[in-house]
Amino acid sequence: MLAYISRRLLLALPTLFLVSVIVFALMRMVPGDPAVVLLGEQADPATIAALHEEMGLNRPLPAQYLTWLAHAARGDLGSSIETHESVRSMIADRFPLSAAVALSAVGFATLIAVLAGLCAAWKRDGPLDAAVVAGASLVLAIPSFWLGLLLLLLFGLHFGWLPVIGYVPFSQDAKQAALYLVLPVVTLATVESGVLTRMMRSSAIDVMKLDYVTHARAKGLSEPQVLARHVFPNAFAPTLTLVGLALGQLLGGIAVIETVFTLPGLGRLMVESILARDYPVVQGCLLFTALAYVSINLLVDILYPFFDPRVTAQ
Amino acid sequence: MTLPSASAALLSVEALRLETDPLTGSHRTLLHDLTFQIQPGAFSAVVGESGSGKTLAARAILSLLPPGVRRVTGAIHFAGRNLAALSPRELRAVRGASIGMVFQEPMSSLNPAITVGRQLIEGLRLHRGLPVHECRRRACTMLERVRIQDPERCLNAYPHEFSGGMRQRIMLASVLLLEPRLLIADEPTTALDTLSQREVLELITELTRNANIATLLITHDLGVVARYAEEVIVLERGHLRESGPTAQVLTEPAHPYTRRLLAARPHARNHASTQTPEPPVVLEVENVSINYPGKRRLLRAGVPKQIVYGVNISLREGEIVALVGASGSGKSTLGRAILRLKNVAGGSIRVCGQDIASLAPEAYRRYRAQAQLIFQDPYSSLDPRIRVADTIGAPLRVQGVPKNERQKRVETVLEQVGLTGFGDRFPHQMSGGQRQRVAIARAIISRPKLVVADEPVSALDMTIQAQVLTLLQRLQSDYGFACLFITHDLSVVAQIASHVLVMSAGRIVERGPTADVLCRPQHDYTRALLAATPLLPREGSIISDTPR
Amino acid sequence: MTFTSQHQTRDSSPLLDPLAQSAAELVAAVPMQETQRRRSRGLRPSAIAGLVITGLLLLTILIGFFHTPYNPVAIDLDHTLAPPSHVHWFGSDEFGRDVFSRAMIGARISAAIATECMLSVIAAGTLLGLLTGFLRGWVDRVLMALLDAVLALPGILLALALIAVLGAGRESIVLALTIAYLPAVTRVVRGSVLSIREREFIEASRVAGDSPLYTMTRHVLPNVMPPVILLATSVFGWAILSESALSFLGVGVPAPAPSWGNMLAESRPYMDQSAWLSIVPGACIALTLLGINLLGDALRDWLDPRRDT
Repeated sequence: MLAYISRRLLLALPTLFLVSVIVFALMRMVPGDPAVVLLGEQADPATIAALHEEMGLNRPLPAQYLTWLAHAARGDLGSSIETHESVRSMIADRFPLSAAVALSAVGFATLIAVLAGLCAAWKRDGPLDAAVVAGASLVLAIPSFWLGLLLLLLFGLHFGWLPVIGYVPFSQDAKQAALYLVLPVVTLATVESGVLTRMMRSSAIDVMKLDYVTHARAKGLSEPQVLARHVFPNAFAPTLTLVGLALGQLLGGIAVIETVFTLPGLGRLMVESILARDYPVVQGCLLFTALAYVSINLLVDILYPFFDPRVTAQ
Repeated sequence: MTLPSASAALLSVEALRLETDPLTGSHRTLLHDLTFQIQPGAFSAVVGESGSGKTLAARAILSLLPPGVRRVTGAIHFAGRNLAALSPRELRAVRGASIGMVFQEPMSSLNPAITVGRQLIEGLRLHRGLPVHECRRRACTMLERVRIQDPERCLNAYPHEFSGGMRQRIMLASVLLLEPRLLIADEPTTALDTLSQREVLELITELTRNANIATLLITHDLGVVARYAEEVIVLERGHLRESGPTAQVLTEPAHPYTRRLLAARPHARNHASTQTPEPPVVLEVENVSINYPGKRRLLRAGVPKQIVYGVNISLREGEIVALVGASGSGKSTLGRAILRLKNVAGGSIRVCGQDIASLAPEAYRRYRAQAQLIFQDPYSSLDPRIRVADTIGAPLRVQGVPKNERQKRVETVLEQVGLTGFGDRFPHQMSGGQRQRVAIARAIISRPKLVVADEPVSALDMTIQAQVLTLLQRLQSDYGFACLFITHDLSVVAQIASHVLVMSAGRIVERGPTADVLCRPQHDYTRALLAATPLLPREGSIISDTPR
Repeated sequence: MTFTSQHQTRDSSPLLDPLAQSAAELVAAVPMQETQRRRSRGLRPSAIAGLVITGLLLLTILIGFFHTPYNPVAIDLDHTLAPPSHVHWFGSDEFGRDVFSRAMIGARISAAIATECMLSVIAAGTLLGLLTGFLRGWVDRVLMALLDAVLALPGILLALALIAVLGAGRESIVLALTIAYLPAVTRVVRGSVLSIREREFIEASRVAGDSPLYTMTRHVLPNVMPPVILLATSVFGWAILSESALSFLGVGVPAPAPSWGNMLAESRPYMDQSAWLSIVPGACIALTLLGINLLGDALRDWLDPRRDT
């Protein structure tokens, strides 16, 4: 098991390295003097010249990349052009909220998907199955931002049960904060549950055709026991992969939800800084996001053998 | 069947009829009014080809039919109760505890996600409610009886750590732990190699006999039936054709289908000694070794694993030589190396005098016409998107034969394999046997000097097997090519090959004329292989049978 | 990080079911006509729904080329935020523009972008997938490592960043989305090629003497097409969704050109006054996606390996 984990860790490093190259290259693709780009048009020539020196813009490109990488590895991601705040602290401020929303949404979605998918596979071709498939197909087609707007319209404006704009930090008032998060989490959970349910259902159906499931029934186990002990672990493995991917994609996709519900999260920071041409923030966010993505994948890789022990043998 | 009154029988199936569910497709009857009985402690077999309904009949007993199949009528009496009329809960009490079932595929017969131990004791905990340590103790004892080494470690291991044969034995242990009165074994050894096959079947026989457990064995192999079963039931396309004591049915079959099945068994024949002057050598394999590249570690290349060690083979025009071995012995790899589908690590291979490792383009083209390969899996060796005529004509196209002539030759060859008019069809419109004939047609159309046949009949039903083998023999004598016939089945060797090479773990351990090797085997492995090959009571003298 | 390639997806399940095989033999023995009859017996209701919806979409786009009830960018400050009526079927927005006309043109714009994106991703992805799957070796490893790195940046963010660098506009959106989806498409094609390579008819092609290029084009490519076609419908759907999301965020189709996404964004300040402004564009997106998904499902059933038994 340990060998397996260290192997996965080792494989993650080249990816991170390549990502850093891509992020660096992306920002350098912006036309114009990079120092001016970073400091803004208004900066005075002396500061620009100083930054030239620091960034080593006279030196060859690979050397500049290494300098930048060295800074980033130490945690120094520069400062925002707009607010002059440290990029790192901006990310640290915003990330917990995004993480909370994304994790709870995916958690709920997974729960729904497992239950719905298993039940649909159990009563295959029956009315429950048809309902689950239809529901999943419908949900797959709904854009998250539209659903968010609709829910806001309904529960926020029309019924007035839930707050519409803004956010209250958890540390200040937990109950209020939770209320603000209900709609975003429900929206995301609904949207994510579509694809997860379909995956769970189809892999459960595939697994239920296998001999060991029939063998379990032949031993006298009841159907719920068969589903829980034999079908679920094997059917969940591919779904787990999908959960990891969904979480990864959410690192960016959450920007849309945060825009709809005006939450001060990492996604919105990213969008705003792109629109504002605040490149240090953009770079920092991209790097951080990639790091988070790699970590999520690693976590899924570590969890996977609990559901399918065969992967450790590879 | 002459039997005592039905009430004494352990299992009595009456007029069982299975049909496809009208909701999921066309309406078809899969089993027509099947009636048979099993006595307590008896070993019975149900034999038939694919589509005969034998597996469905077995599953129907425990109401484990797949979706889309349902029982329309029929009673299944077990120990006085009609299983077909039980409630789900009552049925669950019967499953496992009174009737146990073992399945075919070792790769999917055990749940890969949980340990062997948990799977073994699951049934015991459910039906007897014993504490865990007691279950584990019994499980260990049972594992010893199925000859698994180190049972303690086995309990904590996962299924993927075991080979196919071991997994089948573990499954057997799991079923017999519950001490059922009837064991249903659905083709438990079909997916195993010959030696493992024998081990598992011997185990089943021994353990069930000692505990007076009745066995119902589902199989397609008449040899297995002859060796192990006391009673036999013959099914064809869902109909019961014949049933009775094995000895009687197999020596004096009453029904034409049974007779056809028996006639389809490969039968030994005498092979004429080579005539003088000796025909030219077509294939020379000299001291050939082959490696697998080995798993790539993170930064270093993997350590290569050797599969074939210094093998020598020589084939003359017109000869059929069999290459026999278990799966993993390297025989298929060697066959592919002769066709340059695998690289050779050491030694040389010469076809018609040319070293195939270094061929000029012109010589390479000629080589491709001279050496051909018949693949094993008829479902994988034909491109599903290409018509049969184009598939067969492919070797000629490469040789630059003009289209008209190509068409004529394709038609001729189709006639020779008995598929006249099939040229416009696609593979999915043909049966397995027909597809294999297409594969043969493709292999002979370029009039090769050498044909390597890699288990060409192993994936086919018995009666089809016989047809295809006969066809191959006829074509070989007409065309006169040398044939290296790769197989794991010794009875086929007896019918078709004049010489045989026995291969084990990458080395040729014995070689010689068929009669010599099969009657007077020198090497231990050859002897074990012979002993493990089940044969019918009246099969020819070239191979001796060890009776039950 | 070969994360997704390690774990089996549904399509590559190697586990056998002997029962299915015996049923398959039964089917195989059935004469040709019956299997044909079964296949063309009729489409499922969901497939019909998919066809109808997609047909409706195409019709709307086609008509939109010639005529819309109003000029979609024409401002009419006398009739702002009008509710749906016989004058304005979907009502009018904050500038008095007819929502129905804007939705029609939005359909065309979104579909055009999605089609361009789909074609370039499928073309590039198939080429790369064929190369890496067939050639293997260092080409495979280097390309896969690069694509894995691209995958590490979530699609929306990557597209945003690319648009920021390349500048706004339609071409940037198409390029950005193409790059964002390239890893996934290449992966699928590569996986398909890898499994086809294992089939014996590929070896048979070599034994007949075919050159590797011939084998790749004549044997591998046609067998890879069915999953690729399926993938194309999925990509089209993703592209519509992504373009809408980008437009919603303000970096997609620039105003005043209508896109369902930016129509939704513009509706936000007026949510309490005119709910339909928020409902209509989203409903269009959802309906389109539903139609595409259902069509894709029907396509998958039609291309089912049952044809290959």
